[in-house]
Amino acid sequence: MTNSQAISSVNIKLENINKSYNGKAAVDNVSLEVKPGEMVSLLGPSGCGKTTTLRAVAGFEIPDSGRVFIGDSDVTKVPAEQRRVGMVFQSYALFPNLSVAGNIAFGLRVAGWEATKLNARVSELLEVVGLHGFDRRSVLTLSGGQRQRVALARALAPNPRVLLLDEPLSALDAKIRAELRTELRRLQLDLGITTLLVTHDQEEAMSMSDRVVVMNQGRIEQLGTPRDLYATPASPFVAAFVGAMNLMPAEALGNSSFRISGQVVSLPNLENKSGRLGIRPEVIELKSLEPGQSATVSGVIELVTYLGADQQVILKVGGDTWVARVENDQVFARGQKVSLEIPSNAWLWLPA
Amino acid sequence: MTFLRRGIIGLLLAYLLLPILMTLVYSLSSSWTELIPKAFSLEAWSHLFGDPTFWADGGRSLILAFSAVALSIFFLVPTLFAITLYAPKLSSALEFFSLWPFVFPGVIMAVGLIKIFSTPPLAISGTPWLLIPAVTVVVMPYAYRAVANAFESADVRQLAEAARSLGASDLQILAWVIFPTVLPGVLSGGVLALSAAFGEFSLAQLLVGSSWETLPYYQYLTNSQDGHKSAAISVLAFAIAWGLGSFALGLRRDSNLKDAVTVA
Repeated sequence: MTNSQAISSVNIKLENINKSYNGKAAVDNVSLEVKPGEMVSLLGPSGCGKTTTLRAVAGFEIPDSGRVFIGDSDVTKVPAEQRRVGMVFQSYALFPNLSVAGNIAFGLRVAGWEATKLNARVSELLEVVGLHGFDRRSVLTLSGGQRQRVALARALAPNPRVLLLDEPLSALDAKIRAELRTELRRLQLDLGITTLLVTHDQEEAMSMSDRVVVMNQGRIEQLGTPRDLYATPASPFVAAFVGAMNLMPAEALGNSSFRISGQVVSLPNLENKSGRLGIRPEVIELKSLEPGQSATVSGVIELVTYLGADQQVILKVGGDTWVARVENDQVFARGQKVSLEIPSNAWLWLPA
Repeated sequence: MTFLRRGIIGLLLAYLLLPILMTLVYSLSSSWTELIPKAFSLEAWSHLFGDPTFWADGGRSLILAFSAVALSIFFLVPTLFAITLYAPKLSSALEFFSLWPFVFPGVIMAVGLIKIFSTPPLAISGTPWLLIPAVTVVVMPYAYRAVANAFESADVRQLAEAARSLGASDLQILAWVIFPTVLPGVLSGGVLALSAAFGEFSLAQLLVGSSWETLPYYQYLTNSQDGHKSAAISVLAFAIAWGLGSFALGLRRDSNLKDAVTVA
């Protein structure tokens, strides 16, 4: 994808959005600001309210209460067709009766662009999404990745004020998905267009956005940069949803000692209280234990999954199941006894 | 096993095709009083094709069939569009009401219509202006199925949202996106409606009769004069229905082919 002219960026602001269906809250008092030119992801499991929130910005859902702003204007009650938002759907939603060029030109036709300007804009966008020469093709002959490029070009053509992406990559193969993810992010940065992305894929959210909003049961669980979310998850839900996390009850024994999974661990830099401690799988190092040897934390290997770049090891520690991600050069066997080496500053307190 | 299967299929085909075949043979025979016809001739067919009334009545039947089906599609597409978008809960009610023309015999409808439209202000009884709308109602169940199926196979709601986010009004969405998208499906499914309208007899007889004669009425009149000619009309009607049917299947196969290309 090549460079295209920058768009004058505006912000998106949601103020105390509420929406319920049949008495059940789908979106529960959500407030959020997406800054001009920023890309923000709404991340969460299905039914967490992320799509409803996006659709409130698009104008496809009217919130029961709360206000939606795009730029300086309050658009809460403005019909979708007057909001000037570009929207990309998971299922592409291309118009099957129109060619590639016809699809891209649709918004321009509606806006009454004159032919020469319209044609120039369509070719420009074909170039932007890397589909030069596809203009006459029927959209029904395109691959999924190509279709989503057409959908993106169609959404961008009429110079929307903001871009809304509703699970845009979820219908694609893993390889195309990764490819388009990078291109989409690069294009978004080039254009500087304010973008809201809905996804259930944490990798997608982390890799594409400036900030991520983790949603659960209609509420915002945490809002922060991908780095913040990963390093300091605010709740067990975020910890488990963003990356993987071993979550273990810890009992304070005094003297900076804690009992975790039946093992006594000394963690001098942690507050002396009982609660729930988390540890990321990749900070755990495994060393094999000779018979008779002991370690501060030891476990028995249950399952090893080779992943190419690294391997995932599932262990029994005390009575609990732990997960570790270790380098791919070590060879472990089922039932092998190992020592778990964990830097004491890698442990995180998580609210129960 | 295959022998049994072939036998069953053969019996079924014979059951379906034999009457048509015999009708064809009858239309080509000049005298058939014993087990097998004594002589063959093309007389019935040449009479039929040589009769200007046949052509005029056939033309009227075509006009009737195409305008009734076009009208029902014209009413149904926007209705289903509105219901899909704004009142999805009403769709089961619409489906229920769409079956009503099946429930009431044509005679009841005809009598009611004649009663209302024989006196001013709208004395249109006996004219196609009453027959066409009446037949439109009769073919509505077939047309409804065709349109509803086309709506189900296209994601109308999502297409409408995509068009709306690009600034299109409901009318633009309907005219530029929905109609062209569902039309191939509607046309292939609409063939049933077309043959129903083409063959509609009871309303044609009671509402207009000889003042705006259609092909079924022509056949009805022929029946009492010349059985061979009547048989020829039957065969012709089968041929037309078969032609329309294969055309519709072709349309559907085309769109299946497109889907197949899509998946690859």
